[in-house]
Amino acid sequence: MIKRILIFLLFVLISLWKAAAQDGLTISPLFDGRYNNNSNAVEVLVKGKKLAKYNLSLFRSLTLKNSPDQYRQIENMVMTDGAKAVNKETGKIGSRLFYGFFQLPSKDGKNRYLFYRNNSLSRNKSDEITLVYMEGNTTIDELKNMFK
Amino acid sequence: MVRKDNNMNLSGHSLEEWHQLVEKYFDAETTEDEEKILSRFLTSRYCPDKEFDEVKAVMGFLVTGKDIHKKRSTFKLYRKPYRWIAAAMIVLIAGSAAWKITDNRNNVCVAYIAGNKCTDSREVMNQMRLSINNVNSVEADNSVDDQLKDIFGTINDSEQNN
Repeated sequence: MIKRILIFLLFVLISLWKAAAQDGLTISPLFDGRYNNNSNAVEVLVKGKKLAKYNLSLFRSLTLKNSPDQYRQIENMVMTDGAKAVNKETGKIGSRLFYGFFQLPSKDGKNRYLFYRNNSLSRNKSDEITLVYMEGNTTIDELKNMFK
Repeated sequence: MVRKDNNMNLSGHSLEEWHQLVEKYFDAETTEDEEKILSRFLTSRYCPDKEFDEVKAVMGFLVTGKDIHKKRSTFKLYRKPYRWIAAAMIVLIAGSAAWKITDNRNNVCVAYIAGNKCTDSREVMNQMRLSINNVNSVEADNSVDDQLKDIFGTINDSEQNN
């Protein structure tokens, strides 16, 4: 009987570990908590019930202000993941990525989206970049209209 | 020596006969019926106390021992179900804990705003909408603020040129 209980607990632990596994994206480290205590950053994490009405299962975003030294690095990460996109819409100012809507290859039957905007490149905008990563069953057009 | 008659009068024997029966009992030669008759006599009002104290003590001890043995046997019978119930409860508790952990992992609503943790779901959802609006370039570019900036920017440029 004890063996059965141990096997059950082991199964639970494996399930939890699997759920916590990295999703293999280059931008993943940006959401590992490194910006939690940064006074120039706003990081959002929403999972589960709150997203049900948006047909999403995961929402992550990072808004970073007044940190130009990190913008280029983040842009490179976005470009690396964006290169794998199955559908994308991008805008550039010069050689720099101004904004990008990327639909990444689906995983576990869920659509994955990466949205990016670098307002520091625009003269009339505030000095900030915003990165949004979403997972769910919604389409990119639905997403664009959803938050109007 | 002793008649096997359940209806016999307990006082229908002489003390000597009862003593003989006691000796027979101690020699382990009595039958079950004889033991029953003896025990009935020992607990009756016809039994002199002092003379039969020893046999009373022995028989009482054996009866108590039998009762305890019976209880233990009964407990053994039910011991396994208790173990199963305990095991089921452990599994239930572990399952509930696992479900709770999984639920907590699956339902998260948190924001870190300028280094401060915020778990107020309304504020977090506002931040979420704000993030989306920030990246939604078409909407952002057409916002009232941007349009006003463009208008005043154009006016300022015209005034400077003049």
